[in-house]
Amino acid sequence: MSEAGASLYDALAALAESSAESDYAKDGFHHRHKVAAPKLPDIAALCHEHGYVLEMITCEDQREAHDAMRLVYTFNRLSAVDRHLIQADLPPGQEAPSIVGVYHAADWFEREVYDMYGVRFAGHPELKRILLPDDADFFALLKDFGRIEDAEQEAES
Amino acid sequence: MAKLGPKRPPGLITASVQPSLTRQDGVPLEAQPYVRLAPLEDLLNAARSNSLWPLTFGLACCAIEMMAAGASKYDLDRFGAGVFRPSARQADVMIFAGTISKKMAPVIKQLWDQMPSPKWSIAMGGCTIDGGPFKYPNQYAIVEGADHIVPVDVYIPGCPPRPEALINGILQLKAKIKAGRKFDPNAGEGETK
Amino acid sequence: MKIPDVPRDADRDTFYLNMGPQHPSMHGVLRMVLKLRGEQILEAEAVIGYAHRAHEKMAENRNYLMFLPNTSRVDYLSGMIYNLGYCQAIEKWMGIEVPERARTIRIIANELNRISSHLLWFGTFLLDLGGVTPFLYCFDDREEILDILDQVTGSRLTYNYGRFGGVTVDVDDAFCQRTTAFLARLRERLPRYEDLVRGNIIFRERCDGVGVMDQHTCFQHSVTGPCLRACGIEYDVRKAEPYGGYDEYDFEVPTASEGDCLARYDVRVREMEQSARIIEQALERLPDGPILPAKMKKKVKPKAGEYYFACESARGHFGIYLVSDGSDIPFKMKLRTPSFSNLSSMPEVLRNTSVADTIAIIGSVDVVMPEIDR
Repeated sequence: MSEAGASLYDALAALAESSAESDYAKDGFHHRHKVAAPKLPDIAALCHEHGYVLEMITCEDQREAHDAMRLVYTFNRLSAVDRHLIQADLPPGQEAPSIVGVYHAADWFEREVYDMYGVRFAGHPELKRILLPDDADFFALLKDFGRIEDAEQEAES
Repeated sequence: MAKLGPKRPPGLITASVQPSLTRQDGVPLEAQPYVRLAPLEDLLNAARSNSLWPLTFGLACCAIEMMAAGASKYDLDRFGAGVFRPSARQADVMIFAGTISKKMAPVIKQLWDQMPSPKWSIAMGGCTIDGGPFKYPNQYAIVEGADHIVPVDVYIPGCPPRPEALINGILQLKAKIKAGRKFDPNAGEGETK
Repeated sequence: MKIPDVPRDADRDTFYLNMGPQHPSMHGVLRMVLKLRGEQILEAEAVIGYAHRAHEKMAENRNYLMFLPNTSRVDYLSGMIYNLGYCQAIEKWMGIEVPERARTIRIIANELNRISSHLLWFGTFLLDLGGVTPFLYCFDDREEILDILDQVTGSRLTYNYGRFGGVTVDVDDAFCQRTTAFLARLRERLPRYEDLVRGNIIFRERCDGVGVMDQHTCFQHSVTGPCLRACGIEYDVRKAEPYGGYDEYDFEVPTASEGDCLARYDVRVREMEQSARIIEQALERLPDGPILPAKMKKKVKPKAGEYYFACESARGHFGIYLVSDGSDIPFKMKLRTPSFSNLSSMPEVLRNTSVADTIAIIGSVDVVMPEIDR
């Protein structure tokens, strides 16, 4: 791990609830961090300071196992790969802070998370649907929506 | 459609020519390869089928094979169908090339309405026939087939269909247009035989 | 009658122009809403989602093998790269060894796919700018690649060539000879394209200095691929995170510094040359051997946890983020596609350009809509 990589890891570990090294050869991440959702803008600012790019933002519907919507951010460095996985558990229904102010890429990523999971981002300039039709009344990737079993039950009944 | 002119009494045509050297419609032998008398509708159908102008309308993967069909190797121009028109007002045939998502469906309906009659449609690829590889029970994203939105004349299966398959489909459409009211879908391959 | 006094304000001379989702420039179903003052763009908004086909939802509904056909259809122009990339992801996460012959064949297939994608981009970009001839020429070249891959895999566009551990069908001598002949043909054609296109005054006027994406914009929007390389940053996943044996090959990552449409054009043309170089090396060292492991994994069940894999498609960094719950059906699969991020920079880049430049700029970014909408 280079100097810059080490210092970002340490800086993030100071803000995170838990941080760990990860085996890149096995799972593609160099470091993993679990953070509290309100800390996300600070985390993003740190990564931005160190010159890391926001690779993606996504979400996992972990309501059944962990009673939370898990926001997932990956940051990476273009010069020498150093991928950080950042996960923030959000109680269902709560808003997450937007990091659009730090990374413009978050604009569309957060809109997609809202579109697919219903998670709202406070501070986003225009949080509207991006992939589904504007008048859609569902969030597509939630685990209780659009299940094949439901269709089969309907067909049987 | 009105027939072309009043029917002439047979005597007037064949008076100066040997009866065996004329056709039923009175065209002299020498002129037969060059002259075709037919009800206007048949003539118009022949013209329409030989100059089908498609709308430039690619939705997804099949669009690439449509472009390949229009390019140099599989040349659609030799069938008169290579003039892709960007405006729906100038197009005859709408080739649905790609999956129709629910967000796109109203746009397709609007484009179809904008096309002036006579117009035809070709459903290219599995997605436009019945949803193709994106159809599964309780799916939320796509319209399972173009015929939910517009009437479809020819269905071309494939994922994506080869350019030759698209050309086959266009030739089928040509046969359908040429046959006009007498079109019988069960009669066989038509012009491609 | 008294004529009402209409206040003059900045908005009075503006109007909204809607481009798409059906429009002649070949980008699929992209809709741009442009706020114009005359020809000048004040604001641009990209409306996407017209090709949303629920790939990620389908990934949660089927097991890893059943998802293979989806991968090619996410970005059908880099269908081989995506298909093989997905296989390589599973192999990395499951620790599956790939035979050397299969690895080499994959590299040849990947690079052929990259060349065919760039050729199509080249033709459609020029078609957008008004030149029809390059489209016909490059499709001719592209047909040769498609025929080569068709002979091996059976498909022209949406390949399902990879399996977890290798490839399905072996290549033969005819494939190698045909590919070598194609490389010679490509090398002879590229200078002709230079003559035809690069020196053309209209092309230069429309592309030189137009649509500059500077390093800051690219960084802020996570732009990757030729767009990023055109503004001077040498980032290519094949070099940054080598996979599938790419670190054993000698090739350059072309960059340019201006970040305009012309720079993106140059980068892609030179990338085709580099891909040809890689294919040559791969053909030389194509070893004998099996194309699949002796013992194929019956069930793919990654241990519970999060995984990531990245590969370089023709458009940039394609990443797969997998959350596995230990079963043979993914809990979640996110496809991080390059065009999504590349296009998100458009509202910024298009500000203060003109409508005609919009066509050139969006064309030069090389987006594939189904990969954005998934």
